[in-house]
Amino acid sequence: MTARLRLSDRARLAELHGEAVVLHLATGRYFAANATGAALLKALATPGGATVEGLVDGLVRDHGADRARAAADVEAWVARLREAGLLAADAAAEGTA
Amino acid sequence: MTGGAARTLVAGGRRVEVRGPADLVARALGPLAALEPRAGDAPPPAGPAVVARVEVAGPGDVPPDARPRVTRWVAGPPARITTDGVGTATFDADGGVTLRVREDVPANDLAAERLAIPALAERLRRDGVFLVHAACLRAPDGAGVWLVPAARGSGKTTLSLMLRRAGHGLLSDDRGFLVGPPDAPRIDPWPEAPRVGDRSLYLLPPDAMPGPRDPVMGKASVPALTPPRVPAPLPVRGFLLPRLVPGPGGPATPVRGAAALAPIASQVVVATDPATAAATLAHLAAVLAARPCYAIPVGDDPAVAAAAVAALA
Repeated sequence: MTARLRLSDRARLAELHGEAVVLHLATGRYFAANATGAALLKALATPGGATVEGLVDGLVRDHGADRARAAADVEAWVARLREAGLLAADAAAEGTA
Repeated sequence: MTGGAARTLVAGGRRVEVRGPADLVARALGPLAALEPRAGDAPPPAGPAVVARVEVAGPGDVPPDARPRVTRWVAGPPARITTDGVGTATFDADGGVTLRVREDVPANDLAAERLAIPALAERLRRDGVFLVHAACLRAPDGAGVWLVPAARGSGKTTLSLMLRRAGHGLLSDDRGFLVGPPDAPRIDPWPEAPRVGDRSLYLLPPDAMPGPRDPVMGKASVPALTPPRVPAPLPVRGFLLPRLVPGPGGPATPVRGAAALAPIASQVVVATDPATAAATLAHLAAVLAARPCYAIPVGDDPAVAAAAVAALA
């Protein structure tokens, strides 16, 4: 089972020059991301969200990242988003193929 | 309660009429009173006004008092902004706003800063008028206004006073209303007296005495430096992001992307309808795409900061 992650309903994403800021509307806390992070945030902002594996796959596919390094980076990045309250609390679990 | 009052504000070219019991209106307005037309100002803009009705909150209208007092958006129905222990604001079908304020709210800026200002900001955003937290400085050559958006403690007032000494016109220390299309933004500065902390005291002119220090903020208002009200919104030249550094300071460097967007976006859309917030963030990003943004290292030499900005012509 792999949890699908998505941005909180109280978070909003804005982009500038290919980078992004996601802002929590209740707390004012925000998270700024470079172009790579912006792509991940946009995946999390889709209605269905994304899995950690899907985010890692994107980094490997689109940026040629080393998979182990990408997985560690994504895990840390997701933890920071969660700590800032920017991820939905009701992330649904979904079976993987 | 005293008799009824009707007071007019002008914000970003929009007229706002605030109606209700006079003393409750006064408490709800607080620093918003700086937006009232003054003798000699241009006539208030024509067209329908946004009407803000101020009423005494009934039992159950207001969340219990709490510390810290939180201002939050409630999806409803009815959609509203509430502030613990202060009051609630609803957005009415006729385009007006109803502020229900506890009768015992203190006669300081609490009701204004925590309820009335967030509510009016939310209402005005829907008309394309965006309250931004930024100092506003008119460049010495008159070619537009620099906005200095920054969080508390980041050097906004210090940079503003340094630039003032170098001939910039200080039009607002803290906030203004951003209007117009993203590729031709204009700003209506909110003319409040600057609030100065220890770091900036040496930048005050000798005849500008600070008032009593706010025990919470640690800053003192300087009434002698209250800016003039500009008759109409002015073109935005760009954005300056102060960064406190040791030493004298240094040259400006361009800022793009998230580093430019975050300081202004994070100050704008708290306690707001998520749909309005999304539109506001998109608008701010479009403005920042159309206007330059620079980081200004702010050290202990005002001349260095002034030279950094002067070199941006």
